[in-house]
Amino acid sequence: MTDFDPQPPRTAGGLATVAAVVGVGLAGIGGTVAGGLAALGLPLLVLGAFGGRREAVSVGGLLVVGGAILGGVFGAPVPTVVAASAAAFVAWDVAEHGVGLGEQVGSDAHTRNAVVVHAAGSVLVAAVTTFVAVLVFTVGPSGRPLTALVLLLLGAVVIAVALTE
Amino acid sequence: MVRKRILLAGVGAVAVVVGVAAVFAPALAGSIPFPDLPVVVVGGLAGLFALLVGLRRRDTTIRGAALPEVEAAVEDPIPGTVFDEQLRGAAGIGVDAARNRRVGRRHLADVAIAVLTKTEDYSEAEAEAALVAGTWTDDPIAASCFAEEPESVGVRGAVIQYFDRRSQYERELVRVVDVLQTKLEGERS
Amino acid sequence: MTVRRTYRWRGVTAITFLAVAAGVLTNQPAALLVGVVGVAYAAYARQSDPPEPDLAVERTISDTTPALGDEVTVTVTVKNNGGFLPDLRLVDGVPDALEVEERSPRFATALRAGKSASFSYTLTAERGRHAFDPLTVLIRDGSSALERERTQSIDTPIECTPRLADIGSFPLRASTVRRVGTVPTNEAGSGVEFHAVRDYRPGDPLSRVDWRRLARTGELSTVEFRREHAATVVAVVDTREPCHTRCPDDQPVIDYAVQAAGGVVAARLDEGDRAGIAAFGPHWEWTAPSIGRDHRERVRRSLALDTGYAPHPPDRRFLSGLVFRRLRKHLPANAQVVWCSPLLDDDVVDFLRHLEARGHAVTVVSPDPTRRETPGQRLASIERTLRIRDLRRAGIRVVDWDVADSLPVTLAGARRGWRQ
Repeated sequence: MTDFDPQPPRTAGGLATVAAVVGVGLAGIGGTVAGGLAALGLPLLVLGAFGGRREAVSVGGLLVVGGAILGGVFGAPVPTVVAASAAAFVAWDVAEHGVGLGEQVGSDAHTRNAVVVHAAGSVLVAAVTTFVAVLVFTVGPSGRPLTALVLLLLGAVVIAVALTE
Repeated sequence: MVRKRILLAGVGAVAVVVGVAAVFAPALAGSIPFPDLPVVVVGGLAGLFALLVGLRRRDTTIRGAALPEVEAAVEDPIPGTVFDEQLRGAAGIGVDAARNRRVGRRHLADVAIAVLTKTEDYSEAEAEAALVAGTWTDDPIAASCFAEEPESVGVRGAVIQYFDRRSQYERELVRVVDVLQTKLEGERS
Repeated sequence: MTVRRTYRWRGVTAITFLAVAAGVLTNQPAALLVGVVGVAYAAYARQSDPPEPDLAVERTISDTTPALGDEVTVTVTVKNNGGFLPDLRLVDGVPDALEVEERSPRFATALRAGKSASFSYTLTAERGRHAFDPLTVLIRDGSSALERERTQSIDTPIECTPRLADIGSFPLRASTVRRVGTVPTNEAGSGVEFHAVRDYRPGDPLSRVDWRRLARTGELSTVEFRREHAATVVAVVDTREPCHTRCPDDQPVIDYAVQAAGGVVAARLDEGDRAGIAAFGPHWEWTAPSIGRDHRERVRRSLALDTGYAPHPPDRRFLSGLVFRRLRKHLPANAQVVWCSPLLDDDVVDFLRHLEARGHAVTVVSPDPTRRETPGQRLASIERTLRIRDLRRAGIRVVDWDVADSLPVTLAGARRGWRQ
């Protein structure tokens, strides 16, 4: 007889770990403090991704992206910071999706396609955004007023709020 | 609600357009007078929003369908679990624990009386009396199960009883079951 | 169909604001741009609602009438007749009484338009009619922000009707083994024991002509024997609430009681008796004693499929007095009763003594579900032993059946102690 085993699929755990390691590595370029913060989140996220603990995944993801932001604060180059945060988002997304799959479908069932397709979508968003953001920032004229940039971003954020709940 | 969202999105869109314009065509932006927002205010506002939304997130549980465990079949209980649950609930000094002990002892006494009247030559009244007096068996621990509580046990005894109450009860109970089982088996052979 | 938002992307908005705050306050565009990533995910999470999915789900069973204990393979196939579904999850409604043996009744995949996917798992067949619960379908969008939940009922019942158990022979009380029937009566008829002589009637079998009398007196006469009716037996399965317990091998004890009842009916039908069955509990069942192959088949199907004999029937109020009177009214006069019960409550002793007193000779076959580990279990065992003792003292024959042994072996052992 088989009992229901609500563990996340190992594929999700593996992919999330890869993304998280990339994120931590890139965040580390922003300095030891940034790297240290991100590194704190790594074991939490990985253990949560394999063990099915949503809280650990969320906190771990937050620490990794926090490390990326911190790197940016300390003057790390734009591409690494943006890429690090994108990797952190991917890691959290894939890990939490895996936890949800574990709760509903379990580790005994066949789940690979669902995990891979979801991860691919997440990576696509991350890659495109990173590329566009870096491109816009680097290619655009220098010496732009910060306020303008802020306005741009705040506007974007307001849209985000309007779009989500 | 939807209107509010469209309005918000609209405002945001305008801000984005202006911001993009300001980035790529600063000259154009220069012609539009907009106040030079103090950095701290903007940053502070953003920080405030971060906090508010973050707290809202913390109160939200991520939703998903809760599914029953289809893999398992319905299971029946095992005979005797009610008594065992009472035994588990007999630990401690609360009112519930005392009640569990009382109910358990009564059940056990009824069975003991049945065994005594059927396998040995007791009448019901004699059996009940023998239980209380402790004369129904040679085993001292089993005998003390139904006997009246001793008047005084001294301070040391009281302290031991206080901490040991459940395990003493359980020990007596198990011994009574042992004795009853022996009496039944003895009769069969 | 239920549609729900998972709210899993809520945290992203907070992080976006955090990044903006950090970037603005420290004048670092890199941090600010992290907010852009957040916005992108927020947009991703709020794609326009995907259209309603169009799926065709099918379930096939490898054997819809398996033998007891057989492995049955269930295969579920889903075809996507609509647009691409990035996250499709299926959970099958395994029947309550059955356990999943191998693999999983759950499944997750991404399914392109027009494609099919399937998964399968195995169940072990148990006695009864098993209906599947509705299958649950969950569909999520690519960002997993939205979930649609739907159930689908697919009617694929599994019926397992085990053969009546072969327990060898089952002797009745005060029985004499005769060729024609089993219980002597005081009526004249065909039989084996001499009764009287009468005038010869055309058509009487020549083997029964009293030739000696013919030689002596010249009269043609026929010998009549005592007519022996076949006995009437009703096997009653005790299905009241206290009987719903499981044995040390985790099987419901009701299953063993049903097995015993079926075996007794088969054994007595083989001996030429009329045999019937009844379920004494919240769901009353009655199959009147009769003979013949059709009747045997009816008994087999009734024991397998009727609610009254099911190990986990739906709850229902039970008024023992009323049902007991009903049983007595149905029992033919002088019918013997074989009571199949674990004997886990005191009422049953009263019922049986009453039946015995009313002229229905009672034999009890009692599968033993008690264990000997904890004090409560041992006490339950002691109480059951006392009831067996009481029944025997009342003249009722009790077969105390340890279900680890087979019933024929137990009967053989028990018979050594019985007087014929």
